[in-house]
Amino acid sequence: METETLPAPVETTSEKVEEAFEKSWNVIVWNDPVNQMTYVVFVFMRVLGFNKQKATKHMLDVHNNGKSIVATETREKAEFYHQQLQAHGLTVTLEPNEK
Amino acid sequence: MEADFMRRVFASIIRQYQLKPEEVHPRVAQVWYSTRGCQSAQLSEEQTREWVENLHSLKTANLSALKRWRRTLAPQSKHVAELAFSDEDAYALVTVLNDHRLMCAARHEIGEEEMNIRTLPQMEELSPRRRTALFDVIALGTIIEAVLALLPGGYGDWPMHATG
Repeated sequence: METETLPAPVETTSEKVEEAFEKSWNVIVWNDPVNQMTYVVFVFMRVLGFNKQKATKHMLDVHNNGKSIVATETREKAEFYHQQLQAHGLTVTLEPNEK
Repeated sequence: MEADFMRRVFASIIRQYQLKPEEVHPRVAQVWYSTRGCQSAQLSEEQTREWVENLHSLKTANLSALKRWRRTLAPQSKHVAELAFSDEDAYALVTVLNDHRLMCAARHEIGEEEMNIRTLPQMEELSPRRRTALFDVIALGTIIEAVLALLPGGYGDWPMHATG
């Protein structure tokens, strides 16, 4: 019997574009014993543009649960937040958002 | 006394910012230049190196302001040392002071246990170096809260709302 090898999947330009614009990366801030609550609220407001209520909610999430997903963004924007938050002394990781 | 303290802090942070990331004390580098996020983002070795360099540039961008503030606090007879800040300066100041807190804590292994010290006898159990580091962390925390409370945006008053 004759067999046929399936062609390898080819990533098209449209798929790449879609991936670049897909908000598929979570930005996670982790708890640490040194950064103060007030300071963390300040950083969330300055860097992420949160209002105080939202910033406080996420800060308490970090404080009580050890971490908080503060944004789900495109890869580029997530990397930007990662660097900005870390430049302010917070501990940050990124993870794929698997819905 | 406050001016002496701030001068010492500014001098220390200037020294640290002038070091390349690989020259910073390893425990401090683990906090300031942690690449945990780069690993989680699956960045390549070269991308990670570039990322650390960019982070270092963000820190050193505050160097000229730091030097200006230190000059302002230079000892002058018959004058009370005074620092005046624009709002933008104050945002940078808060971040720089927090960096110093993180540095002291990392370098002298100040963790949760030490951060919860509330009594003098507990404090006296620490070595003199760790005691000084903890003092810096606490004192600068108080200064940061005071500056944030003065800035527009109401950054400093959340605890009253949270507990009210």
